[in-house]
Amino acid sequence: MRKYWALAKTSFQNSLVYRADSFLWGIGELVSTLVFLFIWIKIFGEKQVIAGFTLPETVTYLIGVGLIDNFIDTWVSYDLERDVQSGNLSNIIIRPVNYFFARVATNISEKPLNLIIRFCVYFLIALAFSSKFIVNQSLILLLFCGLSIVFAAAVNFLIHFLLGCVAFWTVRTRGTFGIFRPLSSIVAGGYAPISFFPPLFQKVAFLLPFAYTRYFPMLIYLQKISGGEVFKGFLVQLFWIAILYLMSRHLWHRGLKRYEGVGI
Amino acid sequence: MSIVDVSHLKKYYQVHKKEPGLIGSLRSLVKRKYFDVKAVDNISFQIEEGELVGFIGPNGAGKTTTLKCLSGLLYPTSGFVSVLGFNPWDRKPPFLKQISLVMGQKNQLWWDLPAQESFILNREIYEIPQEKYQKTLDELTDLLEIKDILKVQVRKLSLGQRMKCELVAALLHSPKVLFLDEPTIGLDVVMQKKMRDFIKAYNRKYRATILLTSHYMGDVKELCERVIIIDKGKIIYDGKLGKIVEKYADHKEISVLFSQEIDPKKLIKIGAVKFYEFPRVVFSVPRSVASLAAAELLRKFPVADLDITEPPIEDIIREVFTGKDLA
Repeated sequence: MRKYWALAKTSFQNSLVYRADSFLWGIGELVSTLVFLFIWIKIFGEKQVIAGFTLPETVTYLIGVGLIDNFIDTWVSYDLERDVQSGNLSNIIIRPVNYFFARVATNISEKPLNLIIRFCVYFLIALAFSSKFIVNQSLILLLFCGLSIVFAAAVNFLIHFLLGCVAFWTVRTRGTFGIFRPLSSIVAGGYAPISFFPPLFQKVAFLLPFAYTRYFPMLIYLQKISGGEVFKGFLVQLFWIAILYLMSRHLWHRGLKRYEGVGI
Repeated sequence: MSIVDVSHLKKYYQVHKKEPGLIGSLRSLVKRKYFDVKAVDNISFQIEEGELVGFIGPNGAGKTTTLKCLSGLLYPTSGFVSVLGFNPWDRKPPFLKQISLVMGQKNQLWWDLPAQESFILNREIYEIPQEKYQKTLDELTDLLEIKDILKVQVRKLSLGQRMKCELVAALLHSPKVLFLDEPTIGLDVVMQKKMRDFIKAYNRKYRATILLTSHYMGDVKELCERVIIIDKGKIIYDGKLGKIVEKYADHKEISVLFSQEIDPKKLIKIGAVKFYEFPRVVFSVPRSVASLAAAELLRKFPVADLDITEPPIEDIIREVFTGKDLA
């Protein structure tokens, strides 16, 4: 355990070296959230409700999803791709370290810096739209929401780890990764609540793990689902974590057999 | 039990051939022809504790592939490998804690942080007790003279300094088996000597088993009593370095300094002339008649100095690589 903590600490120190870069990245993300906010406000116009969401709920949803994104986002697919292609993977697997948990440690440690910056920014946005932003006062619900976000982060990490394993089979992964992020974001409810989409789309979305990374936590926060459904949602998240973890281990071992350590 | 035991190790890579040009690229999208590259083709050897063994061979011979199989990085196609009693591919932590792999130009240090941070991280990863860590660190940084650069960002160090830090990082956990891949590549002559001295000292002091690959005969001559020559995935020779000369050099060199002018045409009667610039001549004569030839020279020519030597190891190895007849 100590070694992963040490790894996280070192990785965190490393991330501090590139403070300015993180900051600028945050600003970019912020812009798209603002754009969506203005678009939806305009679309709502005089309407009270669209697809079960009031305007304040929609505004809160978009800001909330932006924040959640920060928390669950991960670059592990790029880490894997880079490690495999550069041969840096050899440096890691030659040591008594579990690559998967090493990457969990480095990914977690790179978040605090980003989170602080982005949290401030989103806080300002929430203030700007304060007339429409819903603040949830229930401590229990907030706790559940927080828990679902933690599970969501795990699910997202596993999905991206699996995606990164593709690097063992193909040399170039830009195409795969390029499609994946936007697509998975839509299906997760990243751009708009899933209920805004056609019924068939919704059916498919809920079969996939993505919906449980962004949509589900926000549903808890906005108190749009009952206690039973919350519980069920947690079960689904845990189910996905288990399945994806097993898949990751399997793919990892198979991929490693193909690894040639080139680049060295 | 040998520290390293390799038996019928094979590592084949699957590579596909692409026809040149655009049509070739399109064709390879649809149908690909794969063929096997036999990087390591049925090799076997044992190494005992404390040995310092050199793997030499032309580029692409299979040296680095062998090292990677021994350290657990590559999954063998077939064969048996045992290092310290473990199967390297299993990569069990007790195994990994006792080995170290240093590849010439590959960095394991964190680029933007001082070397010190990477060392501390390694201490945690290898679970080295604090006291032992400090002692080893002090010894190594003394030997390599890098105490004053530990707090400098690795990015800002020169290649030589970086390599020294890489070595320290690789040795902090006092590995019993050390794999070195091209350890002196890219270093200047002074650093090369320092590196070789260090490796030799390390081998003696800690009785670590060291396997190294190198293109530089200097590395091999200085460090390795035993060499394994690999070519095209097969072992051509496994034994003492000195014996290669005896086994493969079928000739000796006679270096002569003449005190007076001589008729060059007469020299051919003695043997093949390898080098001629008066007053010095170097002959290459078959081993069996070397002393006879020398006697002839002394009798028939005005010789100021005469020297019989073995041909340089580099020449012999080059001949071995280029597949000269080794009967």
